[in-house]
Amino acid sequence: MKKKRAKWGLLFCLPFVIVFLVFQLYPIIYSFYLSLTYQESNNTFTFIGFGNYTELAQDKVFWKSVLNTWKIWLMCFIPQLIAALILAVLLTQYHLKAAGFFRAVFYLPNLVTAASIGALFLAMFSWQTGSVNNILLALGIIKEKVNWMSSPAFAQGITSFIQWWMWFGYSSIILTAGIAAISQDVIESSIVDGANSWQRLFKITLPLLRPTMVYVLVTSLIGGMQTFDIPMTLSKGSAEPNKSLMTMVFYLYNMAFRNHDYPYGATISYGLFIIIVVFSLLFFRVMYGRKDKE
Amino acid sequence: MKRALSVLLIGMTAVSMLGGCGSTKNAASSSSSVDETTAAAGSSTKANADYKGTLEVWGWTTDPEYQVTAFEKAYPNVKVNYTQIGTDYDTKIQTVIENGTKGPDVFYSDVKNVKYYIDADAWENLSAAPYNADTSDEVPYCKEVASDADGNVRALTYQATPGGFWYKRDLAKKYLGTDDPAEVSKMLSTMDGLMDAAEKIKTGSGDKTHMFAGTNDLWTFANYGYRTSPWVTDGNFTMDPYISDFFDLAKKVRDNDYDAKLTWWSDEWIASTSNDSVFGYCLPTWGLEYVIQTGAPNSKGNWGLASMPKSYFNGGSFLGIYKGSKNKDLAWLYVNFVGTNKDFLTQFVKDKSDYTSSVSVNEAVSKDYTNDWCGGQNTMEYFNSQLESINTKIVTKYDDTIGNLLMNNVNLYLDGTLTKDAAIAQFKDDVSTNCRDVKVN
Repeated sequence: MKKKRAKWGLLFCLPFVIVFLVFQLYPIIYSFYLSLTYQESNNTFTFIGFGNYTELAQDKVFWKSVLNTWKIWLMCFIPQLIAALILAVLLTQYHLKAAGFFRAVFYLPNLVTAASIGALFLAMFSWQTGSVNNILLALGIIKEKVNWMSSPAFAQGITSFIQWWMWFGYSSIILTAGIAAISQDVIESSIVDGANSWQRLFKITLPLLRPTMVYVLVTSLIGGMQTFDIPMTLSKGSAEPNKSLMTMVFYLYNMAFRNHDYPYGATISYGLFIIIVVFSLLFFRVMYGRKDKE
Repeated sequence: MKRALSVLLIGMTAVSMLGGCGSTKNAASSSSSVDETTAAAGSSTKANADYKGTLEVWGWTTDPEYQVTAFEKAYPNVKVNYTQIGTDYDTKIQTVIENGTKGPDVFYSDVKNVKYYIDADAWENLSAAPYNADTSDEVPYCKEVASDADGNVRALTYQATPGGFWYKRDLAKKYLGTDDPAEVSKMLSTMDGLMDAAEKIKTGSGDKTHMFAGTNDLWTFANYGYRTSPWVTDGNFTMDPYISDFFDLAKKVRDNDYDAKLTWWSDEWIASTSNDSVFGYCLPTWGLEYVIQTGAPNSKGNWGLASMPKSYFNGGSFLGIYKGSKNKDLAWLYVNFVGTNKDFLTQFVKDKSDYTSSVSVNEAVSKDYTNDWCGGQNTMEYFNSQLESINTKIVTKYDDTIGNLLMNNVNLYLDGTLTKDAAIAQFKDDVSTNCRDVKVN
């Protein structure tokens, strides 16, 4: 009887296992093999060991892309978590009438494809014909049209802003769910014990929300390290000005698919993998470290 | 530990989404399959209607639609499935080629990637049997661009694409005193003349009209007009001495406000064809259809075509037979028809006012040709006159990549982010990072 059921279980697992093996495990291993080769011509790959990795470690553009990615992600994630937390608390603690409506509105930007949002912002901040320049000029705030997208700091800032705008609604929904999952008993007993709403927020809600925040952090980190579509559309594929929008994945795409350098592209993807793993572990340690010892 | 493992898995999943590239050798595509199926292709006894089958054709423009219709009319029993792949066309087709997967029978390539596909051995050798392409009537530069290192033709084209300066006649009359293409050509025949005209237009219009649309327009004609050495020879990068001059030219144009500072191929760039902000455009033959007629559909007759200080070419679609095709006899019929059929090419000029790759067709058509969009100017004659001085000896597969890197750094210089020397140094660094197989000294 037991054996029979196990057979069915295995059978039902099979679709996932096959898809995983073919579309995930094989590419992962194959990419690793590629990263150890040098591409002589289109179809000839020569094994060279870890040469690509030493080159990657000394590649100024790669490190610049790492720095850019972190800058863009941090400038987006910190405001995003703050905004999402405030909204989640506001929308759960105070029983606002239109809470559902607001949640939907905040979530809306997330439904639009990132590529179209990038194109939209590019049009808005266009140097000669952009609406922002035209409005500022008409209001007399500026005297000459500003070439917004020629400033590296602005380009990175606007990328972070777009990501923040697109994702704070999503994060706030996840956090709202986290808050809603906190047992009513704990809150009620705290009220009985005389806790005011600030105390409840800092002593009960936030600590109990930690698993949810870790989830938001880790998913955002993984997404943030892969930032690609907004910089791509915002710079029309050039990662300019001065490579300020060259993120790690952008660099990977450029090398692998634009310059047809698959081995180096694979090397960058493993560099990216290592960075994501290291920091995910680090965050887990920081957030859960104390709990593990208990 | 369990958590660490799950993080590892999350990380792995994240990376695996990006790592889906691979490559297998495309060994199966030998010419033996051709010999079996193309025995009939060379014989003239077979009537057009006797050819039967279906062809898969890939491209990225709407041009092939016209060609497919004409081909299907000539060969009624051959069906052509044309797939237009818009963005990232080359990335997609290159992935197919590098993986040796099932792909189209025929695919198009922009001139900027032709050398790449030739190096990648993606196209059949059309100079060899069973094709034995007859390219005696093809515009020489087209043949040169689509030939491999041994001089074998790998792709054909239906269009030669010499360039010129397309200007707005009403503005020319107002600011230059004449809208006659011959007169304007004379004014623009030297770099100094070009700058003089730009100054006249600027002062005459009170800084409203700019000679050029943007820096990239300058590069369009300077790229193959002024450079004399190829970017890469035998794996070594050489920076043409002209590049330093180009930085100065771009700076001069920007500082004097001779350009409208529009980004190449942006919406506003195309839209500027219908207002007074830009005087003219450095564009090749197809610029009329794809830029001017798209951006200013009501400006028929208001355009003139003048020569520039140097002859140049830009763009152009080439088509060849994919090595992995199982249908090479039909594929050859199609490629040969589009590239060399004189009746088809003659009709093509009449319908599309494009310029063809056939010397004899161009000559025949140019005898009494008038272009309505250019106020009756004989643009064919102009293009004929440009062909001889076009230099394609310097074309390499790196041109597009290196050209883009150059423009990035030119823009940083114009913005004031970098000095000229720093921009040139960074340009060389960029070439070395992006093309790892090229040595930069």
